[in-house]
Amino acid sequence: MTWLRAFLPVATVAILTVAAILPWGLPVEDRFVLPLLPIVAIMYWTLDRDAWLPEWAVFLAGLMLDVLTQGPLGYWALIYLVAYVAAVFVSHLCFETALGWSAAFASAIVAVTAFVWLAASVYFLEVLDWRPYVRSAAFALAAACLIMGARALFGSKNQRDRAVRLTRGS
Amino acid sequence: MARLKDGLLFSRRGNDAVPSRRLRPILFFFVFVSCALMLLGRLDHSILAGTRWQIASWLTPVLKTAMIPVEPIRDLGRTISTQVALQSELERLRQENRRLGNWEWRARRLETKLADLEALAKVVPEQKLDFVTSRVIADSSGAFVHNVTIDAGRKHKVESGYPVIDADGLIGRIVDVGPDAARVLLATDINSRIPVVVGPKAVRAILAGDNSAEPRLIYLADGAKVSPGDDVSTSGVGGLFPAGLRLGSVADDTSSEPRVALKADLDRLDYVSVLFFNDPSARLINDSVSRKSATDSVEPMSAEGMDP
Repeated sequence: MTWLRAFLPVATVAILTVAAILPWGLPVEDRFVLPLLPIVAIMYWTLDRDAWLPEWAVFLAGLMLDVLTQGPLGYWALIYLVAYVAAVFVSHLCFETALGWSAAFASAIVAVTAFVWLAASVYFLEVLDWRPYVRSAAFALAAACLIMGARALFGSKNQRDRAVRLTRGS
Repeated sequence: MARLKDGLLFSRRGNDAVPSRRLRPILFFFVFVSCALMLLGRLDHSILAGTRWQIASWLTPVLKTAMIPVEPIRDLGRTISTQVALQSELERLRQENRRLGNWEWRARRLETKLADLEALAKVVPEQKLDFVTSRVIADSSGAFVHNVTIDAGRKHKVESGYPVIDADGLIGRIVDVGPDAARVLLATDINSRIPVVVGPKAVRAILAGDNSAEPRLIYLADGAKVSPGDDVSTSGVGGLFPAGLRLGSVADDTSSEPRVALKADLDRLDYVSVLFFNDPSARLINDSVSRKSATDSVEPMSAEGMDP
């Protein structure tokens, strides 16, 4: 693990979390996409088995967003932890192609966005409008595709096979 | 040294060498803490509210620093959207300018007439409100709340309850104040309630936010007639806001609770002004209380003084 892989995951999640509450001038209905961007980062780095993204960093990022948005405390912390769990689950699946990975990644984002809507609806005890969530999920998917595309383009050049590794087990 | 048996030893090459992540028990602890915090928040625990605003105040320098690279991006976005809508905007402005030319002439005449009448009736002149203008450094508009954080706080004499306006009219009021920052509850927030008057007949109502872009008019009097396009402004009832601050106009009257299109663009707040407005009736009560206490304290003193 290089020092960049140890530092970059936590840094990107922290930066995207702060960026989520800055006044970008987006309409209220489309602002929901901003807290979803740290989710994309959490999932991406969790799927990257070399990257260092501890659970406490994910929890603190969510908690920071809750504090800064003055929303229900613990809401985004829970959502980010669920995103982490979804990514860990996806990382255990075996896919041969990049397309398979991308499809699993996209499905995880859609599932987490559905959970976000469900959790908010349960909190308010009413069925919330689902359209802003769908729009935001589409944008998050586009961002994820962009990242996966960039990784496929640049990552393959830099990636080298690791040396032989001995593992104990049954 | 542990002995490695041949059956339990195998070699791997390539990217599968690093094992997948596993769910550790600490994760479930964090999930439990998150759920507990949500539950406490739902129960409106007072400690949480105070602590979170304190932490948010500490993070103000971070937000101010983060705003530095954001501003050029916002300006670029604004420039692009302005350029796209330039032609239609120019035509609209031409028509509006023609209409306003007539209005200006009428307004000047009415202003002169009003000044004469006020002089005749010896009307007490309106008090000028002091204000401070500050920048929006965080926007927390989402599914749960609609509020913004500004970089003016107690050090700039900002207090809780002060109304906040921008160039287009009222946007909300201060609800939390830190040393260098304050939180503004926007008129669209689900907790916002503003006493207003509607239209030329000054129908009284309450403007209630519901986290949508257009707040509703509630508690309209039975039989009150409200039409689309009617101006909505603060009534001053209750002493929360000064009377006559513009809010917007009625967007539709199809339901029993018509919606109001706000003049201010709450999605693109940049600089806002905090009016130093204190409820005049509260000041009257304070004055009478202090006068009474002063009288009470003087009476025993004079009685003591009369004793030999």
